Amino acid sequence: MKLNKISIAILVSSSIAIFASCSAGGDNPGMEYAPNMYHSFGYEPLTQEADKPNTINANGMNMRLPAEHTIARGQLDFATYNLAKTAEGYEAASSLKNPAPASVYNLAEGKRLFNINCTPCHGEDGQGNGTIVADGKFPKVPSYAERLPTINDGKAFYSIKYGRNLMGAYGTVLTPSQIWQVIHYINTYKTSTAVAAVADTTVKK
Amino acid sequence: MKLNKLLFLLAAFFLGAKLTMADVAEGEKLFNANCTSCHAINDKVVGPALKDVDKRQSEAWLIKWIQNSQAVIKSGDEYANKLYKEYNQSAMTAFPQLKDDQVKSILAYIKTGGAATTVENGTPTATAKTEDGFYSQGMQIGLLIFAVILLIIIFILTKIRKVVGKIHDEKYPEEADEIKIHWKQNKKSTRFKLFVKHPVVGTLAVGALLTVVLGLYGYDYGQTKVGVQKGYAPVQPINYSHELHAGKYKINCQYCHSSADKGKQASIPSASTCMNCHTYVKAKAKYNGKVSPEIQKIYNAVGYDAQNGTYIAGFKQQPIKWVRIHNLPDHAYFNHAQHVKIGKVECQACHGPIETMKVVSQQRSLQMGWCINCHREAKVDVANNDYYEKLHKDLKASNKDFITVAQNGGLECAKCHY
Repeated sequence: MKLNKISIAILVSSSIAIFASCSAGGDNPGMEYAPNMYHSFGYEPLTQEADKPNTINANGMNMRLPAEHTIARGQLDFATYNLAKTAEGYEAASSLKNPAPASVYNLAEGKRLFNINCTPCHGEDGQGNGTIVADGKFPKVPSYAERLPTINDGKAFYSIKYGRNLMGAYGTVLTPSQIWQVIHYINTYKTSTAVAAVADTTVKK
Repeated sequence: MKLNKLLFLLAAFFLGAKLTMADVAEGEKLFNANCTSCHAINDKVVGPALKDVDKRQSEAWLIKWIQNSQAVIKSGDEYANKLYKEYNQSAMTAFPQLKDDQVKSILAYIKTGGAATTVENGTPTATAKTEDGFYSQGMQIGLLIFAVILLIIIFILTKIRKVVGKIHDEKYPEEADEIKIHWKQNKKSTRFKLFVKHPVVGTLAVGALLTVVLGLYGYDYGQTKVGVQKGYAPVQPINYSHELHAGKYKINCQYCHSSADKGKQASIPSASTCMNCHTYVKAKAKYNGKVSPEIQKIYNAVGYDAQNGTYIAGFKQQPIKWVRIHNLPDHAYFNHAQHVKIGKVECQACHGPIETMKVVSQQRSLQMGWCINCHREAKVDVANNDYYEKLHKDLKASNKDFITVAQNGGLECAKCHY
């Protein structure tokens, strides 16, 4: 009789333990049904399977840097392949002209990208009072109205692509054409300190 | 006469004090507008820390240097050339627009040690006290002692009950026997009545009951738990808080997950994205002037020397192994760009209130029924969408107000499974 009770207790507790280990929570992703349908057989470019390190690339990563000196498709008109990442390169960038027309679409795209990538420091109004600056975590950033007249579009392109002083490089996040769109948008702060009246939607190319 | 002189001196003193006050305020403004992109007062940033800069060089030298540093270097000044080499020949921007007086006011501000800013950045605040958990240590010991006392009381009470029962049985033996017999008879009759009379029916009935209960439970379990990772909240290699970055500082999701509008994956940011801010932000105030151990992990991965503000040459960089949380099975296709850029769906619609999470957990089941449900209800935003120009025209022609994703082919099998 006593043995019976003990065996029932073991059965119940073990079944609870088994079922509990199947549901996800904390570090446990839960039980997977048919894992060979869940995990890609090939290497996915931006997905990393922890248990399947890439045997070809360094560090077992699927992701790789693009080959040096290559230009992405569609970026030939915007890329500046002669720009060196040196002090001379910065000065030489002055000769660059913005190849993208200041169209409604480019301005709107520039605004969208600006609000994603630039506002934490430069602020939505371009005064240099973004959220992390306002909280004192990051040093004061010059306002566009003050700083932009002292540089030109080419130098702005260099600064965004490679970073300048404390500003980080955005060449890995933004394509050259997108950088030119952002430059079109920030140029609107030269004349006014208010948030520029640029359409929010990205209609028409 | 004497009084006059005294008054004059007093006036001069106050005027002078007022002037220096104005200088400092003016200097702070100029410092923030021109210098902070490279310099801090107490920390080395891109350029050297500026504390006690007036003791290193004369005012005249500093004015010349700030207005045109390259000219000073070219003039063969020893100190300038040493500095230029030390900072990998990165020249300081020339500030010809700053007048002598303005440079002086900046120097006056630096002399104050940046009184306004150091309070925020430098000294640790009282709130950074160490807290081990919900209960303090004394409280935990107290609770433990309390639990032990309770156990002892229970033990004593059960002993007393046994002894009292024994005494009772000895005093009234007939009564005790009666109770025993009653228990024995009842036990048998109630428990096994069904099986003794109808063994087959009994077994079937119990079996059927078990099948229904366990089957329902198992069905529900298989539906909602197996292969569903809702609630998955793994420990990440760096204790990164979305609540701080996306919540408090309102940094756009796509600042880090930059390919969410470009391709299938939203992408995990590379360490260079972290370094955009964290070359400067080290959270020293919270860790008694040391670099935060979590931020240090980024530096360890990319080989950044926080002391000198430079990347270690020839360092073998290591990836940070973030743990992926939302794992859609490979047999279901999902594209971020399609939903973020064309569909204009908020990130939170599928990922939950990320901006409030210190540790991210999967909030939605990501099951097919959940996808389908949204496709049935969501209306396609055709009006402001270049992508759906033709569809918008057709809709207008047929006098319809809206079209759901499902009506636009969002339920077809091969859209997601191929």
